[in-house]
Amino acid sequence: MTCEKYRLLLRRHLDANAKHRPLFAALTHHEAECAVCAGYRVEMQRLLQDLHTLDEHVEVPESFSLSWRQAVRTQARFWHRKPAKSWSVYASVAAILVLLFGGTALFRTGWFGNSAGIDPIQTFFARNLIGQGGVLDPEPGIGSILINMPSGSTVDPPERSDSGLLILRTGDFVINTVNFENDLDFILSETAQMGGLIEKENIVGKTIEAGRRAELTLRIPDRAFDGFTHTIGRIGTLVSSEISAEDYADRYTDYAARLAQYELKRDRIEALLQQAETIEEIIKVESSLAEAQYQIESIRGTLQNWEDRSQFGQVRIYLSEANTFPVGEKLDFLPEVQTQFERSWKAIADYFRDMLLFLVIAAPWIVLVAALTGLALFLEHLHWRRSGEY
Amino acid sequence: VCGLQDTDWLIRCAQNGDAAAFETLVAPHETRLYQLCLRYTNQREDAHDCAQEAMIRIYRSLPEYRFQAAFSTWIYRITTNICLDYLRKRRARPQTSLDALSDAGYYIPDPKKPPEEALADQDRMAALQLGITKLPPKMRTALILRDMQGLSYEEVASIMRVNLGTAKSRISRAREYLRNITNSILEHGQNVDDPKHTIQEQKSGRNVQPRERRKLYDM
Repeated sequence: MTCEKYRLLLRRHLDANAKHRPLFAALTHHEAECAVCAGYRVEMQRLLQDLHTLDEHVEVPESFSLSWRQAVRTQARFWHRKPAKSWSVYASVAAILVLLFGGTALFRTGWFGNSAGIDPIQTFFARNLIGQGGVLDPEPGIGSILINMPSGSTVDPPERSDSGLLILRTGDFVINTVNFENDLDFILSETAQMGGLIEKENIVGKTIEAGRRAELTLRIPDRAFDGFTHTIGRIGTLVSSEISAEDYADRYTDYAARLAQYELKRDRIEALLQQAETIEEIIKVESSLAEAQYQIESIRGTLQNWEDRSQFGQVRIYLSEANTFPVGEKLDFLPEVQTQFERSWKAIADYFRDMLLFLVIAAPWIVLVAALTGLALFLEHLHWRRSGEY
Repeated sequence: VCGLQDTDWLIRCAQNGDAAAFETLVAPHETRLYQLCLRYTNQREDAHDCAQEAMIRIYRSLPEYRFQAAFSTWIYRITTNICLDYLRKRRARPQTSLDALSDAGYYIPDPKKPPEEALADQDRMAALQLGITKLPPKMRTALILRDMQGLSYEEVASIMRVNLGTAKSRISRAREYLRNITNSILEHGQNVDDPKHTIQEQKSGRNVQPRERRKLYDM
């Protein structure tokens, strides 16, 4: 046996509480031949014995016994139980569920900028109306298309009615519908058919559960206004409607008179300008001319606006989708069960499809947050390891 | 009010802030925890502070105790962590001298022994105490828990959160280093540096580089 092997075996022997006879015999045999190893064994045995007895005489000071008890009692006065670890797990799960279902709900309302509000119908009409002279306004709102009607560019020259009235008509409709897409389609097609324009169209929501609604501002030719409002009133469930008309004839006459005066004034100033000789005179006269010209343009714009509005009445429609199933003919029990089951199944499938889409949209953020959280946990773990708290 | 008969029941009471149950629970370990702290600090005042901090930490951490390890193992783990923190903070401070250790009265000579033998025993024990302070923290922990506190290898491994083989290895090396350093102290006096690089230098005949020393110290 080599000395190295002896020391290895000696460690085992010292650790074993009961003496292992063959091992003990082998060690004794080597010790008889090697005095260094024999001395080593004595030293190690004495070391262990010394270590074992080193603290035998150490007594706990009474002050320690008293002080830690006092400290614990003080702590007990301000005791508040720490939340159990399992609560943090529950909280994490709850946070994930809130994120998942809340995110999906927001996604279904088009909150993430998904294409919920933009419908092919809108694009179609927007394109057509642009063709009629409308201008597509890229408003930043989601699912919103605004058509600015050119001021008088597509309307006939102003003409007053035979009665001498200048009527500006406005209609407001609040409608609930169970057939959102068809009714919206119908309103827009009626508008186009009657030669009307869409001033503003804003559609929010994607599904029935998300509560789709459309806000439309339409300009309907005066001759078709009554027929249009009558037709609209028959769509879905009419919650409220208000049709108003205001006569601008007096104001129109007044403004027209003022316009004539300003035009007369402009003519006189132009005549004066011909007679002006000095620079100062020219400047003064031109200043007066510019002011008169400004007033003329302003009054003309106002008059033109009234004339346009008198030819195209404004109709505002708030179309909301009612979250109810359409009433159909009464089915037998089993087919109805089947229908309802299929409907529910489709709703579930749609929901999870939207959830998946939400996860895809949110994935970069989720990955980023997960990476930051992982990094924070790793650094904490590293700190924990380095601090030696094993 | 908690009864005092069942350890698990006492633990549950203490987890709800019952100070009396906690005292009943920890009182049997009081001496050993104090001795453990004393072995790390080598100063009674510091041992007192460490042990008291350990008691408070145990009390406050008790709601997190999940009955997965033995209660004694768990409290030893907390106490060793506090002691290791203490050692880290004390690194810059001067180490305890041999004379101070002897004067502190850690070893009481056996009156039955002849004076020469008693003096030799006292010197040896003082050298041993100083030698323990010179062990790297992890080795010191393993040695104290096994050879002084009398815990099993499994308990040592559990407290240190290492596997059984690592625990055994640390204990074995710690004994070897301690034997060497104690002999060196007895031969050359107390001005002996860290045992591991002293041994390395003795073996290789060269100076150990600072980086290598740090590596050895972390064993």
